[in-house]
Amino acid sequence: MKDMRFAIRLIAMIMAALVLFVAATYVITIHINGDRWINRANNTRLRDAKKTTVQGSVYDSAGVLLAGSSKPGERHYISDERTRRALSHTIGEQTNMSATGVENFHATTLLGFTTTRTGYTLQRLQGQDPVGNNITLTVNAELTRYIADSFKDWKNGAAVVINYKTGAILAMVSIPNFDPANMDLAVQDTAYYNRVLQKRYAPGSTFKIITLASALTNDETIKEEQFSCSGVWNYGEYSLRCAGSKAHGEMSLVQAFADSCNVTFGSIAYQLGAEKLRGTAENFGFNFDFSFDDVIVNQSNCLNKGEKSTDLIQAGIGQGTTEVTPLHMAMIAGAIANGGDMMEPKLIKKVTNPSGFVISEMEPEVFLHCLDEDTSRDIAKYMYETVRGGTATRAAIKGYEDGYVCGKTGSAEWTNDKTRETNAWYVGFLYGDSAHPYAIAVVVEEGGSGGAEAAPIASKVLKKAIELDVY
Amino acid sequence: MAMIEASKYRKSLNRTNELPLLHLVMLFQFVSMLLLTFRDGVMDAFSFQMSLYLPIGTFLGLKIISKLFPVDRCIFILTAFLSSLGVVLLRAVLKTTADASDQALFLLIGYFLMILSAFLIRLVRAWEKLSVIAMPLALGFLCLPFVFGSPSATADSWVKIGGVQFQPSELIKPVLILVLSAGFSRKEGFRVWWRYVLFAGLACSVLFLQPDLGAVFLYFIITVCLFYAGTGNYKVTIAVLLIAVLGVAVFLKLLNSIDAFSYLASRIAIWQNPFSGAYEDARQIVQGLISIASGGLFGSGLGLGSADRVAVVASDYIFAALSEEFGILFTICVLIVYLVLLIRGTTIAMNARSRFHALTALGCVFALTSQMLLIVCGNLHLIPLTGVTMPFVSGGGSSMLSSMIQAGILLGISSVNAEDEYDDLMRITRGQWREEE
Repeated sequence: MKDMRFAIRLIAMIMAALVLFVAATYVITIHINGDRWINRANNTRLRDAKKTTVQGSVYDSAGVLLAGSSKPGERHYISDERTRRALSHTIGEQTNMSATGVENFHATTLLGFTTTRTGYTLQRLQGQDPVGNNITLTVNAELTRYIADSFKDWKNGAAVVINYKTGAILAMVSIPNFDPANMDLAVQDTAYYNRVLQKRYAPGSTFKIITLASALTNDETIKEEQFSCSGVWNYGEYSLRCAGSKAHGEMSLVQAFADSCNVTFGSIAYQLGAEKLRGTAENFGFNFDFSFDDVIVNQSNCLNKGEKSTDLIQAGIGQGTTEVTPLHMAMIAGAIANGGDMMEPKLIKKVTNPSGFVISEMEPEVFLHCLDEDTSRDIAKYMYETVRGGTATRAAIKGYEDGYVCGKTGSAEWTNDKTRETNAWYVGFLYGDSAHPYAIAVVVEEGGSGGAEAAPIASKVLKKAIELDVY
Repeated sequence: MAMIEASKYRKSLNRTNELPLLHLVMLFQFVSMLLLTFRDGVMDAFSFQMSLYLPIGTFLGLKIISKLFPVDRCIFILTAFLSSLGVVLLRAVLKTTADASDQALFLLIGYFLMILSAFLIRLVRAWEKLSVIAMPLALGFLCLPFVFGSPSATADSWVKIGGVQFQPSELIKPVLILVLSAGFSRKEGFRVWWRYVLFAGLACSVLFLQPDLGAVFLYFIITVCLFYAGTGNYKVTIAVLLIAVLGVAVFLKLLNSIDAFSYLASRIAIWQNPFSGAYEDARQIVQGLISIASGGLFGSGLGLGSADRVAVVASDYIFAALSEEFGILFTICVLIVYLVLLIRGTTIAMNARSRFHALTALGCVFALTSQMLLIVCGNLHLIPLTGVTMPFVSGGGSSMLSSMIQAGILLGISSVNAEDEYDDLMRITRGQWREEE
């Protein structure tokens, strides 16, 4: 008998520990993932609740009413159609065609599921329709509409402006869009898809920011090195070309970055090796399953699918299997402007209950510490040179003197079909202007050259943002 | 002097006062069924009857069983709580009363089986001889699904004879525990043990072929647990566990190439990525998770949740229903009830005077706890859902009766322990204990 005591005790201890572990896991998973699960489009509870509850209103950061309800099942939106369409992905809609808008991803808040059950039951007992909570967003409606209007001929694409000090999303636009007030209208393919958060684009030359960061962190002498470019570099069967096969000749690292020399950055990536480049990219949030509280952002990928030399060289210039969402690219630019700290993206400025009591308020949180301050200052300098005399001169803002406009363009190949135009990219920020800490990412699909198509949009948009003085 | 000692011992024999617990459980049964009675606006006769029957049943059950044997009353009350929780949940979640009333009937039968098994475990001493007969019978019984299979689910572990449906693997579980305990409590070494190992191996193989992998896993860990506790042979135990892990790894590698297990391969694929195509096969998992998270801290309110949107909520996803209807705090309390059962059961095993009883008690409480862990982890999407049930709570007769039999065995052994303690006390106090009483 005595000999069994130890075994019985051991087994009981293990089982007890497992029960406690499962109980803890139960609480923690609900805490982390609960909202995500409940706010899924296929949660039929929400659909039913919309029939019995007066949904809360959605306001923009300036207090403009974007969406509201007067009785259960009814929903009205801001009357100006262009604004409504520009904001469609941000607001969301009632039929669950899109999944990432506030009315979808934060449906439980608008339906008041987050308030106490006692309040809910009291409202029911008094014969009133229960009323949900109101949400104030960080976005500015006017800026959002202005961005949508800046896209020439309504070319498909995405643009996002964030405040890199707080992480607040000041405006995001995805084109094509839809009209939440007229969901019966036919829409273009992928119109319900929020490109800013969900679409993974090849970043093209904008990824050179990461390659540069990796080079500056891992190799202290690279700043003084000279590079030469003959316009094309043949590596085995793969040949890497600069835009138009133009030879850049002898140049310094700053020039190579400002002129966006593919050969130089391909070879830098090759010398760094996959491990180091991937390491830096992962410091910036690549290959990371984002689970932010406010927005659903798809994972960005870098060198996690293949490690051949050609993959590595292509990754150095943001091609191949490298892909990134526009919001993530804006966050990367923001991290450089913010001394290496990437802020968690925020969309909800404030949640108030029907009687005006503030339930929760936005609190800026550092999401990742990407790189040290000195390196980030260096990169900002390089990006400033790019706007001053490189490929991004058209991003400059006339008459702006409070800070420095820094940026990087990209013209990313997205298909093997050579007759199609490249996607035009611009990412950048205003440096050293504490009143206007904006970071921006613009993608114009099949826009061709980033310097010619995306950079002017960014320039206009940032100018407008400064005018409106959004924060 | 002997008198003083006697009174000291009497205090330790007179275990904790179970009355507050009993009253609390009866109150829970009464109030929850009463709430359900008036949920839909019209009075629900079934719920109203249950609001009386359940507490009365608990009260009478406790009175009867503690009149018959000096059992651990805490275990009885907690099993009564858990099984009535099952009835309450089934009534709260499902539109019809059929499942709940079936469950109530099984609960009643369960009480009788509980008393019967407590009686048998006290009475029968020749378990080693019995196991020689029990082993082939049990194996034959496990093979029944091959003959009378009922194609109710993907795993063909059900038997349907004359309108009655049951799951042999559930009902054989107590037999497995008894037989293995009888075998591994002997000290002769492998020249005796091999029969029992062979029996367990054959049982697992039969279940594997059905295929009912949840049951295979359960049978396997019960065997390992009893082998280790009974023989203390940790080297063989660790070796077997390692081989099992290796075997599972190889099995998973080969999975895609075996046609018979293609359903399993797709199940694992769905488990790995349930959110990709949420509306198709992964619907159950996704709806289950939504349901689990929907309750919040205090639950949606009894009968106000919508856990019926989850497929097979009555048996596979009763934990999700529990979490939605009652909320996180109450669900944690239920998990703690299982923990208390584990601790009480282990105490019974530690106090048992014979190796056989100690092993049997351990086996029962181990089986109940691990089954609960399997289903909760499955519901929480930590492991693939195995299709085992939540003991006492899940809807379904086989599961309820099997759990009740195991609880009955525990109760029987606890009463044997109490009597042995009493005898000891008599010996210490030279027979004066009774007089003082």
